[in-house]
Parts: sequence; structure tokens; C-alpha cells
Amino acid sequence: MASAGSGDEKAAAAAMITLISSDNEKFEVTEATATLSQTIRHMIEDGCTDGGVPLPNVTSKILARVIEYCKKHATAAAGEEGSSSSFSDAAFLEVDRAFLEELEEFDDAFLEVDRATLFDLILAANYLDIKGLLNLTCQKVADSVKGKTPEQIREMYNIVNDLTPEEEAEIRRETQWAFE
Amino acid sequence: MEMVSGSGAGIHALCDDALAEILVRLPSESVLRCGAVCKSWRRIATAGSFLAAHAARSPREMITLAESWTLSAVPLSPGLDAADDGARRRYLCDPSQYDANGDWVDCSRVLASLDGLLVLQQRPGLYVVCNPTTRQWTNLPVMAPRPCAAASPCGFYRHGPSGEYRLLCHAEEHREPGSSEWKDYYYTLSAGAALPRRLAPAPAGHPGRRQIGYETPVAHRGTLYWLGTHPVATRTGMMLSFRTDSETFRLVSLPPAGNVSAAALLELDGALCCVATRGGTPLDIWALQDCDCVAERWTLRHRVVAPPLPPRGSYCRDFLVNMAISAGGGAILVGMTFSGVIRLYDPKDNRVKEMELRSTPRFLEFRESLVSHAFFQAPRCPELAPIKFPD
Repeated sequence: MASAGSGDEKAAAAAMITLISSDNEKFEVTEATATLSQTIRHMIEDGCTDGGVPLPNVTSKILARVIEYCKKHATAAAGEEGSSSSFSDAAFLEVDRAFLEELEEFDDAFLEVDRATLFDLILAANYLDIKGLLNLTCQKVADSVKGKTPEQIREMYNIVNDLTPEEEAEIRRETQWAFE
Repeated sequence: MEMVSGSGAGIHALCDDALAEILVRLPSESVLRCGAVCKSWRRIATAGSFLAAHAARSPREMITLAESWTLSAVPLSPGLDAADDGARRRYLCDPSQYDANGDWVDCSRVLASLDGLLVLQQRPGLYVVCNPTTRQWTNLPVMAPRPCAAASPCGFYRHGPSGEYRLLCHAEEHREPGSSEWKDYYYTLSAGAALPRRLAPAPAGHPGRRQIGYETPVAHRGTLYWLGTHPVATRTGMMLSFRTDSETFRLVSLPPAGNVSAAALLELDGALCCVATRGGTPLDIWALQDCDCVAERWTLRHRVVAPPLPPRGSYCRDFLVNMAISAGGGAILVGMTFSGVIRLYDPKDNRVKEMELRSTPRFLEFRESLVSHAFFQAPRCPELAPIKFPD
């Protein structure tokens, strides 16, 4: 992995993208990292990334985390492409498995954030259209909601119940069994 | 792993799109509960586009029939194991019919599974469409004893131009009242419609046999295909197809697989395929090239030659195949009607695994769906027997 990385450095250096956060902080990233975001990929394809890509919806704190995620997963994507041609090679499969495990550990550690950060990451992943990050973060929230009653969900996320008693009765009548 | 409640910004900060991305990853029952949290969650969790996206993510399962005649679903995956038919089998509904004393009278036959809907036959001519996920059910337009003397279900499909769900039936009518002569017609029964609609003349059934057997068809690119056991096939040596958008029939050549009664159709990797085995382990996979051109062609795509399986015990007859379904990842599940013994073929590695499920596989794909349908609001036929759902 390390030797492949140093060989690519020259080509990558030619394709650096500058991302600008809402608080005007600049981040230099490789094109491979940036294009994990479909939104940025389209901007590159349209040739409108000269002078940097302003991201008015993403703070520097969140953008730094997003870039951390993309860097790790861009390396993973490159690794997969490289190994697919020699799929039968047991050594490569071993490397693949080790790398996937490492990636899982990275993802688990990445999710160790407070709730506000998690929601900010979801918003950024949604806006930047980064499928893997959106899946990872949304699944984390979904897992916390799974199996909970509406009352428990409201309590957990400080949600005010603005349904009228009639609406609530109607919902429960339609699908009573889902609430038992 | 529990999240720490940090700064003030909460789940309220999420836009509708982002919230939908969370809810779409929940199982159906949780989605229903989320719809009772607050107004904005309700709006998202009941939107048609959201429900369609949620259904599209549902894992593929296979309908199985338990000993108690209840319908269940087991996960359909290339790693399917007999153990799945216990730990991971989900009880969907009990289509049995009971009398006033609660005694078992009859079991409704499951005919089809499409877009989260099941079609059941309570008696010939009375069909039920049921969504076990939302626990809704109603009857399709009644076919027999009126307007037709006898009816046989052929296949269930979504009619693209109207978006209606329809059951195709082969029906027999008296030529005139009191006559002993019969006329055959195809009818379609649209969910939500009051009456069946006559579609086209049908080939005559077997003389003196009121029930005409159509096997469960395989759907591929908006066309239903029946391999063998229907009147046209026995007469012409062709297989029957039905385009669901134009509602027209066409005959298609049979795969050169030998005996079609020991073969089965399935959709595999985007192609219409036919699998056939001659008792032994090798499994031939034929694929139909370009179904739209006039002279379609079958080609042998693969022959799975796996090491022989250990001899069987009590059921040591030849292994027969008349049902098949894609298990994902190129793997194929094959078996025989009303047999719990199935084989999982993996063409990639030329591997075969035989297993005996505790429930009887029906080789029908099932995917949960919460998509709402107006036809469930229509009044039901009074003679319809209720369907039971898990407590």
C-alpha cells in the first residue's frame, strides 16, 4: 500500500482541490479524496473548481472530519481497484480482509462523537452527497430509534408532540399492532 | 456506544431529506412508530416517495409454508442455510379459514407475491390481495360462481399504464344458460375494481377438467412466462408469455433442455433463464437471448458440475426440479413443489449444497412494503374469511 502511494504522489499533486468552509478555512485535498463527494465530482466535471470550492453549509470543524473520512475511504477504494485484477491471489485477499477490518475499526471510532456533531455530519454528507458517510451516520441514528416507542423517541431527541389527540388516535387505530 | 448528548443542536436541525435518510434505514414496524412521533416525522414517514424508497431497500426473502399452514418468509441470500429456517424465519400471516367454532376448515393457497403484496385463493374464483406488512387485505373482483362457472388463476402483475395490480385468470363459461357446452376466456381482475374484465378468448382446457393448471409464472421485463403446464403448451410445444403493459399473449420457443417437467424458469442477473437437471448433480442454466425479437434463442450459459453429494437417506430418489429462484450473487435455489429438500447451486465455484428446510419453500420472492394502496379501503366481499396476523 505504502509503495503504491508514493508512486502516485506526483500525479495526485497535479490534481489538488481547495475546499473552503463556511468560516472561510481552506483545505487542500487530492481529487481522489474530494470526488467521494458526488456534489464536488460534478463541480470538477463542470470545471468550476478553480479558486477553490466554497461550501457555505459546512463549518471547518465538520469539514475536517468529513475530509478525514474521505481520505481513509479514498485509499480503500484505490486498494480495491488495485487488487481486483489479482483476485485469485490469496495474499491479496489476506491484505484485503485486513484492510476491510481496519476500515471497520476506523468507521466505529469515527462515530464516537456527540449527537450535535453526528447530525452536522449527516447534513454535510447529505449536502455533499457522500454515500458511504451518509449510510454510516444515518444508520447510527436509525439504530438508536429502532424498536423504540414514539414516547421514547420524543424523549431521547427532545421532540415536542404536535399531533392532535384525534390524529394520534387515528394513527394508533390504523396500525395498533405496531405499538404493542 | 451510547451517544452523548452534547450541544444544543438536536435532531430538529436536520432537513427533511436527511431525516428521510435515517427513517428509510428502519424496519417497517419502526417506520410506523416514527409516523406517530410528531407532525413533521409523520409527513416524511407517510410520503409516497419515501415509502417506495423504503420498500426498494427491503431485503429479499422467500415465502415458505409452515406445517401449521401459516405463511412465513426466510432471508434469501447466497449463504442461505437450513438453520435460517428457524432463527430468521418471520411469520407473516395465517391464511387458514376457520368455521364459527374456530375449527380449521381450509387453507388459502398462496398464488403470487409482488411488491409486498400476496395473492391468496380462498376458493376457486375468490381471491384475496393482502399486505402482511401493513396487515391490510381485501378481495379481488369475484370470478366464480358468477360471472364465470370456473376460474383458474394464471399470474399477478402490475399494469404499467394504469398502475393497477391485476390477476390474470383463465375462466370457463357456459355457452348459454343451462348449456353443457363451455367457452374459455382470459379475464383480468383489478384490485379495487367491482367486476372482472374479459380480456380475450382463451384456448379450451382439458375436456372434462374444470381446473386448468397454470404454474406460477416468472416475471421478466414486464412479461410473464409460463414454462409448461397449461393447455397451449401441451398442444404446441411452446411456452406462453404475456406482456403486462399491452396485455397480449405470445408463444415463445422452449429451451432445448429436454423434459420441461424437470425444469424451471427464473430471472437471473437480468436475464430470463431456465434451469434443468436430469436427476444427477449437474445443473444446466439456459438463458434466453433478446426476448423482444421474433426468433428468440436459448443458449447454454453454464453447466454446474459439482462433486457428487453424499447419498440420501429416506428420500433417496432422484432429485427433481420444477421450481427455482435466484438467491443473489449468482447463486440459484432449486427444488420441487411441496418438498422441503432444496439445493443451492453456486455456478461461480461449481458448488452445490443440499439442505432440508423445516418449512416448505414456495420459491416466491417477498419484499416488505409499506406503500399504501387505495384498493384496501374498498368494502370487502361479505363471504371473505378473515386473515390472521401475528399477535
